[in-house]
Amino acid sequence: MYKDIIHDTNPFGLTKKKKEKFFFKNISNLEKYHTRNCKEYKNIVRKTKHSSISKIEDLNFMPTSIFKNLDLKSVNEESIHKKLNSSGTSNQNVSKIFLDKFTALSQTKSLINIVNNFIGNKRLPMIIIERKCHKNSRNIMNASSAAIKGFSIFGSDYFYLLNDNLSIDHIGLKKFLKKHKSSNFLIFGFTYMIWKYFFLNLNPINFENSILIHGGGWKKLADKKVSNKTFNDSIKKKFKLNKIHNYYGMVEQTGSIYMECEIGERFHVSNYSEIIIRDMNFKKLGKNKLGFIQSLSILPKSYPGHSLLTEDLGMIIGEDDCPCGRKGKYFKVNGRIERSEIRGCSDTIT
Amino acid sequence: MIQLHKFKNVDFIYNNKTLKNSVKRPFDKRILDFIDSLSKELFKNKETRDYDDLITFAYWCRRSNIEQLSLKYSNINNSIGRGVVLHITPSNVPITCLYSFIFGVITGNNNVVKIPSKKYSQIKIFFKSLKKTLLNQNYSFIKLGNIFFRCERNNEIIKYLSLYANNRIIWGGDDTIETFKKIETNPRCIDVNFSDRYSISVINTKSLKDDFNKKKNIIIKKFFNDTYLFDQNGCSTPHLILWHGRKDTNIKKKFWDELYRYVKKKFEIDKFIAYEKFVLQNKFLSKNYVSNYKKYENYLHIIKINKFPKNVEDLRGKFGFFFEKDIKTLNEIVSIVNPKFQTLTYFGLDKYKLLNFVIDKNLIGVDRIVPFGSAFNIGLIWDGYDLYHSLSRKINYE
Repeated sequence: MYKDIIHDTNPFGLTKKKKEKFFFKNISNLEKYHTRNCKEYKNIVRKTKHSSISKIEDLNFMPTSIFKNLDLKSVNEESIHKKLNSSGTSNQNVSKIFLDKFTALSQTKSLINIVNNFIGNKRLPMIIIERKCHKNSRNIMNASSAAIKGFSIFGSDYFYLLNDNLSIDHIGLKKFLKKHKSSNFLIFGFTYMIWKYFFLNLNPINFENSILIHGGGWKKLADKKVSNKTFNDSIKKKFKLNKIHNYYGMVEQTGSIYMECEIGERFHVSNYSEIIIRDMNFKKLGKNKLGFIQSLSILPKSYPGHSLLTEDLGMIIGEDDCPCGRKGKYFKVNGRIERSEIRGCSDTIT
Repeated sequence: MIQLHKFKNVDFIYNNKTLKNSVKRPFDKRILDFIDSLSKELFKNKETRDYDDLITFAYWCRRSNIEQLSLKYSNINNSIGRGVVLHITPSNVPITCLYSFIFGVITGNNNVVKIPSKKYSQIKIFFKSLKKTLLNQNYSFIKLGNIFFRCERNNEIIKYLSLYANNRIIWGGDDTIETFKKIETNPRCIDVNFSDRYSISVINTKSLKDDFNKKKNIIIKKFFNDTYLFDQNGCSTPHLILWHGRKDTNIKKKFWDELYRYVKKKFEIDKFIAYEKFVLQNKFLSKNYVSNYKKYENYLHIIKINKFPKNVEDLRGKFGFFFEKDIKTLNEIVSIVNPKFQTLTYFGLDKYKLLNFVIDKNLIGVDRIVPFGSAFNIGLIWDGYDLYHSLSRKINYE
């Protein structure tokens, strides 16, 4: 099945019926695989009451944060090639994702296919709105360095905008711009970093033919009352930057990310993944209804992360009919569930 | 006399920054008068009625109740408050700081109480009533001998007061206690630490069956108050429900069904709660010691275990998420009880038998044995400590 994925260069080509058939076949096989190979997952599936599985929404799903509570693997220890860690925003525990070579490879390939569909095949000199990654362990990576590393395949030459003390490396930037004078750039970073450092701290530069890709969520910016629209408009105005793509993804499902198209304010679901929106009792919701986002991906093979209920809320706004021409569902993310105050007496922190 | 004027970023209630020594005998008549007047003021204030926890507190402060408490102690004659008590109280529950304060007062001490930064209405109402009570000149010793304040936990004032205090009462998790233990104290200071604890419930199936049809409403209400009332998050709320005696699937089902009906009326589930419970559900279903589970929408989750895991206190739920196991006799829990165990709430068992069980089996945990509905009934004996003894000085005279 992975052959199809890796060689299919249009990850947004399948219309509803074809997609359902393709995806259900692959995801059910994956479900069987994980049930056989991960004993904790088997325990969960066996004890969770499922009706017969005839549709994608009948499949088991786990909360994304389960990877903070359990070490879940569907391959033996020796095959583990890389470990990804994410701290998440709401929990001190760290998610642990175990990747074997095969999973890492198919995740990279699908990332390439998805992103190329938006920015073309040409590799561009890349400006990364981050500090240069300090080498921690080669085999353990946190979510942000994993994302930067993942996206760096789209660059031909790299420049990290920030110094270690988070000041801007103006001299380095000048040199880099000079070096690639005639060329356009790929600018990459986390939404909040782009706003804080790229937008607020740089003087206007002409990035007319460049592309900006950013992700990581809007929480910090929403607190500052910066909306997606304000973000795009402000950056367009200041840098003449017209191609801005937000993406939605998670370390638990690297590779099969959801990209915002040219129309804006919507994320596209590729062939590698599927989105289901669920209500508070986890019943499937229809179009334009706000609920938990369940994200399914046919890529995770070394760990059972193929069907996850996220802490994010969103709604499906259409399928197969986006004016941008891409097929498949498209959806909106409306932020994360709010933590309610827990009563109790085990906390004296003021 | 303590002067606290020099400390910055501290919010002193009534702007009271000096403390004058006014230690007394525990249960001194003037103290009882004050607490009773406070109780009356609280009842007079209509706002009190909106808060069940505040009503319970006001009720607890009545003279008859406090006098009843004093009867437990003989030879009060040669006892006196130890001096200044520093109270570090929990931030996420409004009322504990008030009890902590009263414990300090009852035992004849001066108190410096760090109250939650969050401005709970209950605390606001309490201070209104306290202010009115203190208009009575007879209680000037309370006015002069007690300070309430809010600040960050790393404020210098904590260090200063820790060196000064004769007692510290620290409410909080193990992490909080560890932080405060590192702060230097005066050599004779006694710390009373209320750390992370674990609580269980034991229900005799036959007694429940006999009583259920007639008394189900009151039984369910009591269980609800012990659990859902504080989101199943206090240290005395039960997580593990042990069905004691003859196995009876029918009565268990009746109990949970009935609880669900009650919870659905009284408890609100939001998306956050639903998700948190879903995480717990997945986490525990992955374990081999879990045989089965049942859930009633997102209102009530029950995880059935077939054997006890190594650290039983890891079986911890929230918002109505329980673990259950059948036990033929209490002997089955001897090996699982550890010093983390605080409260055992019971239904249909004999309290003396339970007490003797704890002692005869040399259990190193279980500090409270209380009937259904009393999990949160706080008193001078709490968490295995007797605050009367911890907070007072005994004068040996011959």
